[in-house]
Amino acid sequence: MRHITGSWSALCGLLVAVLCMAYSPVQAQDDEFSFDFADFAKSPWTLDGYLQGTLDYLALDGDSPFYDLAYLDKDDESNRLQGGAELQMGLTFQEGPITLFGLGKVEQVHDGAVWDENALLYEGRASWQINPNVFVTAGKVLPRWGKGYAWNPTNFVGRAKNPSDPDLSLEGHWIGQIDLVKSFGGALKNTALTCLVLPVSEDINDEFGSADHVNVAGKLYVLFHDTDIDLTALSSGSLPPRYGLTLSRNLTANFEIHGEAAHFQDHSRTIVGRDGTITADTDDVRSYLAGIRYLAPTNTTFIVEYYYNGQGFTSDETRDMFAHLSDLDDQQLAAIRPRISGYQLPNFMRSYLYFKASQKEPFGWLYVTPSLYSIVNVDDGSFNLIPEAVYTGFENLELRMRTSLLFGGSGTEYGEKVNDWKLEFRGRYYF
Amino acid sequence: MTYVRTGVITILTLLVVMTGVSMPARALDGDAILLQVDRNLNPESYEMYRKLINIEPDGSKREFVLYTIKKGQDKMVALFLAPASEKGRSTLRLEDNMWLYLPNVGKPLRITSLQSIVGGVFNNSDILRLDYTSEYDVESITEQDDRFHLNLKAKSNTVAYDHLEMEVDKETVIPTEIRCYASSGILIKTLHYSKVKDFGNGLVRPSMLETDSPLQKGYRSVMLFDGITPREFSDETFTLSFLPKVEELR
Repeated sequence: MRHITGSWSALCGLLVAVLCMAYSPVQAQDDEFSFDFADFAKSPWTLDGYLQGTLDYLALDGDSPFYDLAYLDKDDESNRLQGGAELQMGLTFQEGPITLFGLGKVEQVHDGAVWDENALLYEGRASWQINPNVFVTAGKVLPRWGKGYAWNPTNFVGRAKNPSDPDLSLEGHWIGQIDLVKSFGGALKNTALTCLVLPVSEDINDEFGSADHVNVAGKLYVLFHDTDIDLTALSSGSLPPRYGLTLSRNLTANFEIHGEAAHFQDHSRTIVGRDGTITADTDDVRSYLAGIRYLAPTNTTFIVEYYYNGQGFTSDETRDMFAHLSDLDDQQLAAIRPRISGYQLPNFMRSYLYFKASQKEPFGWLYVTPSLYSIVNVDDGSFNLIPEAVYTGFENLELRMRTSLLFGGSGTEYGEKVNDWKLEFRGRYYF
Repeated sequence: MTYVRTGVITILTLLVVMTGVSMPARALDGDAILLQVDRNLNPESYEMYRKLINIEPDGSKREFVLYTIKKGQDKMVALFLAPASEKGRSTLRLEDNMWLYLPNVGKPLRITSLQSIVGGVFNNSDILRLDYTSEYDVESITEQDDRFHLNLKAKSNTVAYDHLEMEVDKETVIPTEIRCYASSGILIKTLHYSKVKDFGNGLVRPSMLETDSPLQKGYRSVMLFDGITPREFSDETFTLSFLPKVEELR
C-alpha cells in the first residue's frame, strides 16, 4: 500500500513538474536567444485565419420604436443571450507576379431563439503585377478609402464600417482595378492612381445601387511635403456622382492629424414626418471629418474625431420620425419599415464626436490593454460609452470583454436603440 | 632608429587602412565615423530577418518575426511573419513618415515614431530604424581608450529621440551602446549591441540588440538579426500601394 501511495505521489509530483514547466513563464536568459531565418522559408501557399467564439448579453429597451421594428416577427423579450462560433480563413497562392487570394467565413450563431448557419466570401481576387509601376486586380475586392478611424465619408466604393467596431471584416464588391504607381525625389515623393470599374446588375453588386450600370471610380494619391493626399471620385451611375479629398500628416513624433471632405451630388433622403408624411429630399450635400491620434507621455493613445454627416438627418427630423413610429401598430410598422432604412444606418444623424483612449499594460497588468470609447451625437446629446479590456497573455489567443452603455432621452439616437446596454465576450484564436 | 620609426609608421598606416577609417589623432571626423557606423551595420540596400523578443517583468517572453527590406537612406518596410495573430501586418517608413497596414483593416494608417506596434521597449523608430546619418547630425566626438563617444542631435522634431550618446568600438567602428534622450534631457532607453557575427558579403556586425528603459522598469526587449543580404529594390516597392504585397518579395 505504501508502495502504491509512493508511486502515486511520484506520478503526481512528475505531473505537477511537467505542468509547471509547461505553464510557468519562460525565463529569459541570453543563451536562450536564438534565431535562424531558414525556419521562416516562404511557401507559395499560405493559410491563416482565426477561430472565434462570442457570447453577448443584451438588456433590451422595450419602449424603443426600433425595438418594436426588430421584434415585429418575434416574441417579446426583455433581455437576450446570444452567441456563436466563427471560422475565418484566408488562403493565398503567390507565384512570381501572380497572386490569388480568398477570404471567407463560416459561422453558426444563436440569436437567443434559434440557431443559424452562414457562409460568406469576403474577398476573392487575382492580382498580376505587370511591373513595379503597374498592377491589375480582378475579383471580389473591398476598397477602403479614407483616413478616418471611425468614419470614412470619402469611402465611395467600400462598405460603411461599424464605428463601434471599425476593424470588423467587411464584404467586398466584384470589381476590376488597375493601379499605377510612381515614386519621385523631392517634395513629391509618391503618386498612385487607382482606377476601378464596378458593374451592377441583378446578379452582382446589387446592393451597391441601381442595376444595369458600369460604375467608374478613381483615387489619386500623392505624398507631398510629408502629407498624404487623396483625391477620390465616383462617376454617375448606380449612385449619383461624388468627390472627395483626404489629408493625413504626422506633426511630431507622437502626434498625427487627418481629415476628409466629401461632396455628394443629388443625395436623396426619405424623411418621415411626425404625421407620417413621407418626403423625398434631394440636394447636394457635403460631409467632413477631422481627427487626431496622440501618444501621451504616459503611453496612453488618444484618438479623437469630429464627423459632420451631410447625408444624415437633423434632430428635428429624427424626433419627428421617432414620434410617428411610436404611434404605429405592428401592421403599420411593417408597412413603413422599407421607408426608414436611412434612419437605421449607424450614426444616421449630422454631427458626431468620437473619442478613444487606450493604455497598454497599466498598473503592471501584463498583456492587458484597457480602452474607453465613446461616440457622442452632438445634435441630440445622446452617446454611448464602451469600456473594453483585451487580454493577450496566451500566444495567438485574444480575449476581449466590452460593455456598451447607451445614454439618451426619448427621441434621441442612442436613447432609442434596441438595447439599453450590452455585455460582450469574445475569444479569438489565430492560426 | 630610422628603421624603427619607419616600421612603426608603416604598421600604424596599415592599421588605419585595415580598419577603413581615417582618423587623424587631433581632428576626428564625426560625420565620417557615423557614416562608417551605418555601413558597418548594414548595406545601404538589403533584406533581412529579425526576431523581436519582449521580456516582461515576470520573465515571460513574447516573440515576433519580421522580414525587412531597406533602400538607400530613407526607405524601409517590415512585414510580420509570426506570431499568427500579427502575420501579414506590414509597416512602411519613408524618411519620417510611417504607416501600418493591418490585413483586417485593409488600408494603411499613419503611425508615429514613438508608438510601438509590438509593445515592449522597442518603439516604431527602433523597428524601422534608418541610417543614423539620415536622422542625426554629429554635434561632438571624443575618444577614450578603445571607444569613440559621439553626441548626436536629431535633424527634426519628428525623429523619435532628440539626441543620442553613442559609444563606438574604435577597432571595428561598430556601436556598442546608444543612450537615447528626449528633448527634456530624460533618458528614454539604452540600446546595447552584442554578439558580433559574420553575415557574409563582407558584413561583420552585431547579431543582437538589447534595450531597457528607466521609464519601463523590469521590461526588456531583444532584437536578433539573421539573413542580412544586399539586394536592390525599385522605389515603388516603398509605397502604400505595395504595402499589402510585401510577402511577394520573399
